[in-house]
Amino acid sequence: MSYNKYIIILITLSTCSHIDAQIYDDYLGNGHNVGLKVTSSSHQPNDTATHSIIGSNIIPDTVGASRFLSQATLGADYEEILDVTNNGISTWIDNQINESPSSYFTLYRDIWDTVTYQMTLVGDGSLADSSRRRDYMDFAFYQKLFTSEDALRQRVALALSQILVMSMNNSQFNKRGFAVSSYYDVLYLGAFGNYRDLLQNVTMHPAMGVYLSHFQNKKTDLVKGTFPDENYAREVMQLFSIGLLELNNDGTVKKNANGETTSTYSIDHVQELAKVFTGLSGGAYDLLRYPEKAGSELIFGRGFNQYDLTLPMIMYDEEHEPGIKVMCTGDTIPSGQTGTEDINQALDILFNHPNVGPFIGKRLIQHMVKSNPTPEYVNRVATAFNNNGSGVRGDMTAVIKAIFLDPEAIECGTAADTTGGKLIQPIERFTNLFLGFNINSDSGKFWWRELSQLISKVEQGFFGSPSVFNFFTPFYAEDQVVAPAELVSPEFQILHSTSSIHYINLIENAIKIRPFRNRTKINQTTAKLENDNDDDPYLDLSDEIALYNSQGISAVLDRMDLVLCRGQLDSNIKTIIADAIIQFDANSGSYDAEDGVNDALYFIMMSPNYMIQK
Amino acid sequence: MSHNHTRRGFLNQLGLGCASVGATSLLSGITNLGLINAAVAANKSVYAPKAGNYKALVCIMLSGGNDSYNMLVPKGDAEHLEYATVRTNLAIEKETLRPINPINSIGKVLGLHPNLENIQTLFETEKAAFVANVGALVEPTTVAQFKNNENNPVGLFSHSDQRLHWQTSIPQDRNANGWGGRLADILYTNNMNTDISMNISLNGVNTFQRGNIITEYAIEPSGGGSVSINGSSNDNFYNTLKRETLDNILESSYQNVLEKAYAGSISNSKNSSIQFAAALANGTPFTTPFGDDSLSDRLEMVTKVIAAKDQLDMTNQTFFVQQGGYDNHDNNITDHGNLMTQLDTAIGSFYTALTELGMQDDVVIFTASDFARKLVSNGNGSDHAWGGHSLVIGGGVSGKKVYGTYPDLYLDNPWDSGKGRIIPTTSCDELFAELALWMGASTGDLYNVLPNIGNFWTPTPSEMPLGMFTV
Repeated sequence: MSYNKYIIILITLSTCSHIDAQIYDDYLGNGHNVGLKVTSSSHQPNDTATHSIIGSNIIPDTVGASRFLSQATLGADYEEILDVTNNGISTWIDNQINESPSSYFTLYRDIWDTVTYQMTLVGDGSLADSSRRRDYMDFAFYQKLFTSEDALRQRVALALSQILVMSMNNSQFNKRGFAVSSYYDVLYLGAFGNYRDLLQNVTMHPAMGVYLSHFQNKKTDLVKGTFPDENYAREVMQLFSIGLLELNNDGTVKKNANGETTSTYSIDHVQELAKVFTGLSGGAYDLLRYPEKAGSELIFGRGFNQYDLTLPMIMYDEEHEPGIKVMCTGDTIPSGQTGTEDINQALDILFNHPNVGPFIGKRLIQHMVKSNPTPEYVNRVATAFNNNGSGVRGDMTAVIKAIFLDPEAIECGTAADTTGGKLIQPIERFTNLFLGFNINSDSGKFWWRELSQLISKVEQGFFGSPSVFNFFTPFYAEDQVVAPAELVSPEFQILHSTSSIHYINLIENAIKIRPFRNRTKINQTTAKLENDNDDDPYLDLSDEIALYNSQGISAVLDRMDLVLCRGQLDSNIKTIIADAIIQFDANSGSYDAEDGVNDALYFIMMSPNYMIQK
Repeated sequence: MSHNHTRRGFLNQLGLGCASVGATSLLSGITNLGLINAAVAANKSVYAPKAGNYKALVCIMLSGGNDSYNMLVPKGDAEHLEYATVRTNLAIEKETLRPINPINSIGKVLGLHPNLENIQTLFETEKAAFVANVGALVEPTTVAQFKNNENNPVGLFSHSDQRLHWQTSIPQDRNANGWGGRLADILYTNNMNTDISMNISLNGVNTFQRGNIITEYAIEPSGGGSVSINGSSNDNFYNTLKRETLDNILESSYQNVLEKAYAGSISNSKNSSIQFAAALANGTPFTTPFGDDSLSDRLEMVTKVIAAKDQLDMTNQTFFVQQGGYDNHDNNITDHGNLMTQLDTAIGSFYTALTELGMQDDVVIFTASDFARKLVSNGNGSDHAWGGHSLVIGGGVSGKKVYGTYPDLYLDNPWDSGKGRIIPTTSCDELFAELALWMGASTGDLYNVLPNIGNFWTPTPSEMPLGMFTV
């Protein structure tokens, strides 16, 4: 970190969350101050009175860059931090948004093809396991994470997958990687698009259709005594768009003079909206599995596994509920429309509800930046959702920029805010390690399924939520410290006496034994994939080992502090860790630089300074 | 029956029933408060355990909304016809329902889901009972009151809220803690062991077991239940210093609230696990076999913990166990049937194992769920509703009875809030009060454990809300 290279501008603000700094359309330094680099002033704890504006194109110091990358990626190494330090945050975001993504489904399909082909080479090929496995979904996740350059998109997509939740932790989806990877494409390819499109594509995707049972949802049948399924109608409102209570634009709950809140919808509105989501079923038959269905007439009511679950559902108007439907906003969907028109209108109405900006904006902030954003921060993000500056509502690019370029995300003073930060999710702790220290493997493959296999230990996996309510609720507050402070700590809902210790043991194994096992070998008897012990992935800790040998443990800890703790490792924690490693080294003749580096990583990755991203 | 929230209770309230309402009638808030204060003064535990008597409460949360109108089902000709008419393609055929012969009069012939073989046996041998149409209420609620939203539970018909209501029993408050936690706040001092929580969870963090003082200790259904830091039983130089270093990191002072919370929770977890595993390893062995599904695994682990009560030095415990998969909007008949089989098998093994340990009267098992499901079909499944039926097993329950009122099932009946979402005729509070008193809470304690209880029943030292347990 070389402060003297930069011009440091100190501006005294009255509080950390003061928003005057953001009144300019373009930040200080953007365009009209070419070459001006503005850095954060200080990251000392308790320094809340004085800190710099870091304008945009915001050129942070290395600590600011690391902090930004901890919010905007699933992990970044030292070189990435230097890159952001040199080129600035806005440039990095713009470059990321311009990265063209490639489909998850295609990657999944490639993996499936590769494995299936290899399986057919065993014996006469009759042992080939052609089921479309859940494991390959994990393979695709890691393969893309470690080999493609679109870190921001992957970060946002993973957050979206925990808001617009569907899960493979469900008997119907256990082996349906084709459907789920194609569902993930909706979120991943749509991450920088418009939220209205996300809402549309999520609604129409058969994976969501089957998961929340609006697939083949039928109109009222008074003879049979059946009524439309309310599942999707309820959750699309409660979880995907407007939430349970009327909100102010800053995300706080609206209250009347008596302090009473207002529900956004009633059971009657759920029943009405359920009628809208009737008549949908598969858009094509699955010709890969059922080639004999080629050319046969597409009908509404076949078993769901007979349809191609990677193509959007289509409307079968004969099964769609006729008549008017009354929305929770009081708007009426008239009778006589097609089912598709009904759905489009209903989604338009939900999308235009004033709750969506603050509701979705706050969720995204909580997933990526902090659990307890100030109302002002939520307000700024919701405002960007409501209007991207060009009159467009729901522009996710504008929302994402508003989230990451907000003073509350990037100002150094806010890092010392005692109510700031969020607990890093289990899955992210592993990706932080692997991306922070350049994971690689001899085969170039990262075919891992261990985290999904470990759901019961750390309570999280990729697409492994126990229900549409995600792994944790955004309202959860840890009981000893957080709830009394009237704050929330969503991720703490999956941190308990077993999951917390399992994590510490698993990260130790990942550091000291092997990151994860690579499932890249075909068993020559069973024709199934198994772990290849010759293809274990490995971390690159050569820089840290060199530092240990040349400058000692303190320099190693400084480096890890920057990469993993955003420069926020307390000096006394650093001393505790350094002292231990010095003693280990002194006590054992066989203790070497690698051991020292491994232990340093282990202690850092279980420390509160790392675990709370702030 | 001494609970006041049956239909007859309401008729009484409305002046339409018989004149004698006694101590169980609905009184004004002020009168109620007077009676409660009297009870608080008496502070008598009705089922006060003998000193040292072990008692455990096991909550099985049927997560997602158990379609309990297909668990406890009308079987008489007329009532089954009424049931089949409203449930249409979700109705279970009358002939396949398992017969039961309750010894109390409930006005309907009922049967059990065909897959509930063990539960049928437990019921018929007076080891099990049902509480019919029980659910979360702020106060006794009629259809008219529901429609005017006079004092409805918040977030009715949503999973997140109604699941919470069953755990908090304060359905007007989204921020309430759990009644199992508040019960433990009162009882935990009975336990000599101060390191390990009275409340043991087999499903991680939950609201039910979170009180003001006590919160859950999570274990897992495999190995020794608890999880220890790698190398924690090794006293060589490296592992000793490693442990010290972890302690030093966690015990440092942190300014940030979340850092503080994380450091505190890891410290607690780390320090209890070794003791817990050692105790479990020395518990009384048992041979009853359990199934290999997730619920059976969990109840087997609960049995191991109960069998180690002396090693753990526990007198009172609660357990939280979850069986997921009940949100059967689709494919209901098959999926719910499979869940019933798992539940039946797991409970059968659990009760047998408790009997093997001679502790079947020291442990009460009850089922909770988000809600029952709507009576009407949505095609292949059914949606979220409200009141449903709970099982209560063991603990010397006065079994072979159905407590509460089994409602009529025809659409738009006086308890139908719409499409067969039946308003509860017995409050969760009444069931929970019964369980809390059995565990050893005093009548006065109930006001802390179940703050709404006075809206349904006046805590008196001589009478029980439902009368499920013999004094």
